Amino acid sequence: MLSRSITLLLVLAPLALRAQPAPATPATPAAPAAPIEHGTEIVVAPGPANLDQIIKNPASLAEGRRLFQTHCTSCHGPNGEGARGASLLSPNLPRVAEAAVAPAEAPGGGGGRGRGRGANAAAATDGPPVSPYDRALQQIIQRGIPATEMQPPRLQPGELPLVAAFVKSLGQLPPEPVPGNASHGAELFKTKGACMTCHMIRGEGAVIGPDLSDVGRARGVAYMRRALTDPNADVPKAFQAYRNDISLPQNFLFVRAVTKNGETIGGVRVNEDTFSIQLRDLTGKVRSFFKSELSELHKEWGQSPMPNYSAVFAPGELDDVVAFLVSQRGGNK
Amino acid sequence: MKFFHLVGSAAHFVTSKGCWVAAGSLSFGLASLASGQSPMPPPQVQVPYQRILKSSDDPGNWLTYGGNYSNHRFSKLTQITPANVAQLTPKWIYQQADTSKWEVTPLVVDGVIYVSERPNIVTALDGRTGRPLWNYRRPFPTDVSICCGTPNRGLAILGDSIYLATFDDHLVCLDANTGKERWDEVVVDYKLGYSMTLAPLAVKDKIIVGVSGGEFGIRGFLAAHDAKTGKRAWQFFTVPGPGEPGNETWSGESWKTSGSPTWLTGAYDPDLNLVYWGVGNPSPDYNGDVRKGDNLYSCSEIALDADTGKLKWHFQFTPHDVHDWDSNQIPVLVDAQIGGQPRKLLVKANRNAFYYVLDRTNGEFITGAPFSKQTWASGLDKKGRPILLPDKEPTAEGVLVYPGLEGATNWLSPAYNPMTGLFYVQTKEDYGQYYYKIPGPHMVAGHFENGGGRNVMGEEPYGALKAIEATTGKIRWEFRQQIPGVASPNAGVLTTASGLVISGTREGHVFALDATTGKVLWNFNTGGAIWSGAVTFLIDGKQCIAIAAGSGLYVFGL
Repeated sequence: MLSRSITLLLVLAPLALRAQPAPATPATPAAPAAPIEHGTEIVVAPGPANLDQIIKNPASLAEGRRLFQTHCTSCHGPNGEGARGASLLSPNLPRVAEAAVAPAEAPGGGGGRGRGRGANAAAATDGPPVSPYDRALQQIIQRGIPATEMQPPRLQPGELPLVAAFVKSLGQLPPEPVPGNASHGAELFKTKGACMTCHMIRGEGAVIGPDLSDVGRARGVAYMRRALTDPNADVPKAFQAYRNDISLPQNFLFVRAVTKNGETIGGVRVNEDTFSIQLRDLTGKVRSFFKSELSELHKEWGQSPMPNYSAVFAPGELDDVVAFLVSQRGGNK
Repeated sequence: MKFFHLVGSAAHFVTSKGCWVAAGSLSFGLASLASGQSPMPPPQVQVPYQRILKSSDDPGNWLTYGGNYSNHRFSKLTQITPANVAQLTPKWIYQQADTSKWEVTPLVVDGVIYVSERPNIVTALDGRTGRPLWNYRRPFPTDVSICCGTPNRGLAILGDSIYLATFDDHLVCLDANTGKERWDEVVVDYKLGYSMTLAPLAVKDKIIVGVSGGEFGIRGFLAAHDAKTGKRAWQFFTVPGPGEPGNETWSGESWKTSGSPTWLTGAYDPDLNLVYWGVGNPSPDYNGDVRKGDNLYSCSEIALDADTGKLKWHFQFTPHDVHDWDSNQIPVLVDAQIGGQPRKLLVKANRNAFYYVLDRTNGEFITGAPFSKQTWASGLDKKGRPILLPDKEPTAEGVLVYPGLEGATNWLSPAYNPMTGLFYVQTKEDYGQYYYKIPGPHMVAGHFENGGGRNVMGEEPYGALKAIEATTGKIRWEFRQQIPGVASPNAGVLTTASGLVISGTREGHVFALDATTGKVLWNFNTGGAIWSGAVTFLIDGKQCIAIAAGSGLYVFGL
């Protein structure tokens, strides 16, 4: 199954899945650590292309798939189904759709860290006309999305339209079947599952686990089912101690701190530095400790405190909760 | 006693004896005063070469980038001690004009602090208050090749002049009293891919500068300019041309776009009259197929005659580098006993994860050892050449190698404490990358790299300040630091005769450790990432510590 194949690939494909783009933290004049400057430069030359033309050409699409698997799968999954990054199995990717209707320099807040031109400014010189959606999709891949982990891949000239076409083709796949009953799932989510003791949806619930208000935009059926029945499956060690939100799997880390007074506090890491750690305990309260005040600090890498819901829900109920979750596309306001 | 007042804007000065002097400029006024008979104020700034030479015995000031010509970053000041360091408090904070990372090591001369700010700004600050005394700004063009930001790491001072190496490859001489420009010389045309980020080194009557540009297919060099006139005194190409020894270590025409930059400040031994300088990566960085051979003098230490720029010796740390392991790290000169014999040593913690001890009279390898996790060499042979492990060169798919391309350490300055015999350096641990290459040679929008590195998901690198026995490479202790994301630690280290080690974290903590044990004695959260080197000096006879964090220069005292 899809979920199983993700797990296997996580184990078996050391390069494609373990590698990820370097963040933009160049350190020296001689260390080309940041793909930002390079990435934006590299892909400017060809200009945006009509992606539907490329999708019709099997060889080009296959090359796009190969490039996708080289540059994108570590975050978006081998088939674009989402992992650390969002699922791409949608004909109308939200960021792209927003950028497509925005004025010339808008996508991703201007994003002009390099010297790349805006999508609308870089007119295609020949070939069929390019739709605003195609243009925006290519620009987002070209530039990355500022203030997120989406970095521009290091593509060679001419490769950008191929990757973009493959990404667009993912949205043309038949939608995943959603077998359950979402409204019954909503009820179970609140009652039998007691999910809101940790999670929040549209302002209701608790903030220990990730906010799920728009989890359906980023995650599909298979992923959600796996998350419910094998909560530890996608909680890798993460690089970032701090993000504005706690999100599985990007930076969720459960920690157990024991103070020198003998008190044990379990909670989610909110932030940490060399000398201190801040965590949100299971009541939702933020606790701050200097490390010198602690006798033990355990980091439960790869562990989620979430129970395995296959023991809580009957199989039909699990379908219903999954259906409810994948329907959550509301934004988190 | 007041020597003069400034009256209105007419620049009239009156001496303590009531002698009026009219002058068009402050410096002219002082010159007029100096030739008169009444008690005259000495010119504010006087840093002759002899004074820099003896900077170790002048701990109230910080006269050159590395604290002395040996780059020890060691101070004989002892007012701040392990017992009282916890009482340090900020005295003042100066905010630079720019808000990006600030990599400066300040100079301090007789109560005035000189800093370079990004980009191409020099500011003189009153050490008591942090108020600016003068400010020099110089525009720079927008089309300079930038691999990694536009930092400037500091200044040189000689006589009463301040020297700035600009990002667009000018060497500028300023009047240290006023910030007025005295001369401005082009070192090289920035349009060829060169830039400059380093603090110049003032040696005798010359100012020595090196260049960045290893990602842009430059041909690296080191240049000396006459301190008075700015005229080029000598130039040494770090990549030999046709007919010169070493040119055969570059296949085909690859020497022409060979990189090998000189982007950090070197050291100087006045007895041997040798300047030591680290040389960076060959170009293109990650695909060595187009530049077969050892690629001299990339990733090497070079020793040049200070007067002529002639090569005395070289030592190559990483022949035919394909991982961007520049060897620009600060060379530290150590005089110590080895096997009962006094030796003149040059030691270096290299980006490639090995620590090296060389004889600085002739460049011979004495010993070396890894100081950080590395998976590319089984060790060093008797001559110090790495014994390579198979299959560590970048591939199209990527191959996992430790350390990652930012290296086990990098440009951040280490320190050497002659009292503990320890070399202190910030390192990055648990840090590997998948190195990949792109077929080539392939110049992409001016970049000449042909590959790069991808991080390893599931690894959380950390920073470690390590205390290494200077003559053996043995690690005595380490102090671990959290690093945000996969960022590297980027703070230099300062050490004192009172037994302190002072450095900072990428998170913004300034901290002090016991130089013998590594125990934490003090820390202060500035809230801004530290990319700079701490310095110590006297203000009004009291020891202070200055370090740039975020966009602020923090000055601490008891």
